[in-house]
Amino acid sequence: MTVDYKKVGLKSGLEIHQQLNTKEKLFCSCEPELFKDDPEFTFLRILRPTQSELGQVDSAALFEFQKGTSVLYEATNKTACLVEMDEEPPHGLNSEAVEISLITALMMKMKPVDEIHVMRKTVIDGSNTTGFQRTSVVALNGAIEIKGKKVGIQQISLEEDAARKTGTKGQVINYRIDRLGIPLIEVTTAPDIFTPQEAQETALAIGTILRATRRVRRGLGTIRQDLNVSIRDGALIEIKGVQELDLVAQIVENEVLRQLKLLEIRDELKKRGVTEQDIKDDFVDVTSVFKQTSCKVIANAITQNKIVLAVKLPCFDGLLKKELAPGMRLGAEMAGMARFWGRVGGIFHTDEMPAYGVTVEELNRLGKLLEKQPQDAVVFVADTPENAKDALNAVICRARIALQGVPEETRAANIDGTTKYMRPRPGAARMYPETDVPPIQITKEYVNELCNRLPELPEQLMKRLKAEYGLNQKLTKQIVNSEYIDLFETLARQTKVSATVIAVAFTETLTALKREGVNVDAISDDQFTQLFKLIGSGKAVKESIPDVLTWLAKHEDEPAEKALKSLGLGMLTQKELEKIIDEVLDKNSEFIEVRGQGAFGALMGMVMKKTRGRAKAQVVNKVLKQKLEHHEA
Amino acid sequence: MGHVGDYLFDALRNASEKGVVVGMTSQCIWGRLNMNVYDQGRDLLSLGVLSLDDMLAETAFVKLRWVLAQTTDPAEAKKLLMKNVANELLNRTVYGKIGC
Repeated sequence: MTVDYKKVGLKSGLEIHQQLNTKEKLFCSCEPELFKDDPEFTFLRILRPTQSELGQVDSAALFEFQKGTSVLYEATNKTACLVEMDEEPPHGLNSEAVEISLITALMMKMKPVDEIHVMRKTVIDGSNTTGFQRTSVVALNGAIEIKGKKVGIQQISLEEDAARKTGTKGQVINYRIDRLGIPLIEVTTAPDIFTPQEAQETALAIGTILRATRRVRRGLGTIRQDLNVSIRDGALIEIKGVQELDLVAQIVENEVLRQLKLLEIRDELKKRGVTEQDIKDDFVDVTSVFKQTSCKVIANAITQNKIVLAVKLPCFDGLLKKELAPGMRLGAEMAGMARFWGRVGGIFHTDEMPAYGVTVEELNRLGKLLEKQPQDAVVFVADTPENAKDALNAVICRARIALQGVPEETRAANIDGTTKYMRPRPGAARMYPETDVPPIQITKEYVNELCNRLPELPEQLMKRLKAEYGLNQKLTKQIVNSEYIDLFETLARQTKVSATVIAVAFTETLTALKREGVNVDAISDDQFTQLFKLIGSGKAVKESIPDVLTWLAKHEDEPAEKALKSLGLGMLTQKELEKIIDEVLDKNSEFIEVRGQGAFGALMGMVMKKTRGRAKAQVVNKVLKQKLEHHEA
Repeated sequence: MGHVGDYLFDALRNASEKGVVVGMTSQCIWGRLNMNVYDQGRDLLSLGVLSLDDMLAETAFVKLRWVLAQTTDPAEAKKLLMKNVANELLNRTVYGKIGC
């Protein structure tokens, strides 16, 4: 389906979060690194709602508390101190992080604030030990140009990153606090983006400017995009956690489709004459229907003394399975809300039946109990009475919203470009001042000084790279947009390898390997450096790059030299090379007799294939030439 | 967090203005001072009182005597006092480990 985005009134804005490459964290002196092994210590916390200064209790916090959620934090002494544990107040704002965010702001022609005030933003999912995230506005009102069009940059904020979730066991959520406190800048654009393509181009342009500061972190999870998408008559939807830039356009496209289809469903329900009053919370215990069921999920639930609870959605038949966008259905939206509010694993509905071992016979009995008419749909869940009731209440709530169109909500991006329900949109009033950190004044002198030493903008960088390293236009563009621009320059200067070879490795080769499923983010700067030093000193050839990188991605912290050894890619000795050439010549002596010197090209190809990146082409060329002359004589 | 009563403010101001090095420590053997959390601490900072972070009171006293043997210039003395010499003044306090 092609959509006229102008006609549907698409408006989109981006929030781009980028980790900064500072020596220390934002509010303490811990190393901003993640640990891979087991934690050195853990501690358990329970989130308790308290009254705010205004006497209100945060309803979301209360909800989590009632669920009985507790959080197990995992840490090492190197990556966390008492500040991350919230056992010690935050230290002063990291001045290096302030500088990088100001530089970024100035590169986007923004106006820095006079004083940076740190605020607390309520976060109740346990990802912050404090129950809030510290954030501070650094600059306002800038703009960047995307293909001749101005896209406003509303604001840059400096924030602390949250802890990262490592798992859930029952009521206990695990978080690692190594990531907590890593400085992050958030770049917020104005809703000036009107097509999915524009959204992707804007994200790319902002990413390129961020990298042009040369002071941001790279690797999976170091840059995250949030998208705000709305269409006319639809709703403002916030999509969190897009990790792949390439997905931005697709996710916006899908969101527009999803909203359009939800509006279609609204109109269809109107046509069918459904009103809000028709959707009743008359829940029916249908456990008896499934006493002998072969549906494993339901059977398991019943043996644990759980119940099966069902509700009728009048005139909803066929609508729950209607595809909103590829891979997204109204039934799944209801399931998402049921999971969130009812803590259930999922829901069943008649649109997808018979399936999962539920038989037609069971469905008939279920229908009878609920007085289901052919045009109706039935949703049922198997869980504890309390969870099942909460889940169905959420389903009913979602069904009623379907009559109005698109609900405002926060969604999470999946890796396939679809999105799923995450939580309701938070209220606006969840910020209050962080009184433990003194404000920082930004003087005119400081801003002027920074203006005088701003890094090259991407366009200037491109010009210089072309001139300095003789890269072609396409490759220059690719390397400037790449996360590896910094490392590229360092290696191009430090090693004797040609800049083009290095640039190709960091762009085309890595992209190709990524497509093959190689985890290229695992390759460290050190490993890259070792590899190119080996190539530069003639101990490896450039043809071995893809194989070596693949090996290194699987062997973290192992030296590149070891990769060559275990891949059998060490350079051939003169003798070994001569032996290979002799073999090739012997095998092809008839061919050589016919073609004479003309056989050289073909023979060269054969030898290169046999040496598989273990000999330099120039050397092979020389030896083969000598041997070929000798062979004839 | 670190406090003294208001009645000491004049004395502290006088001392500071006369070039006496004034620092604050805590009696706690673990953890550190943070004078930015409460008003009183911020007021003390503005009077020129140094926050001696995780230095122990006794250590700070001995260190100040050593510092004053190196220099008598107040600014220089303050700088030396706030510089870690032998792990007596660290910028991190780690759970379950004292001093490193």
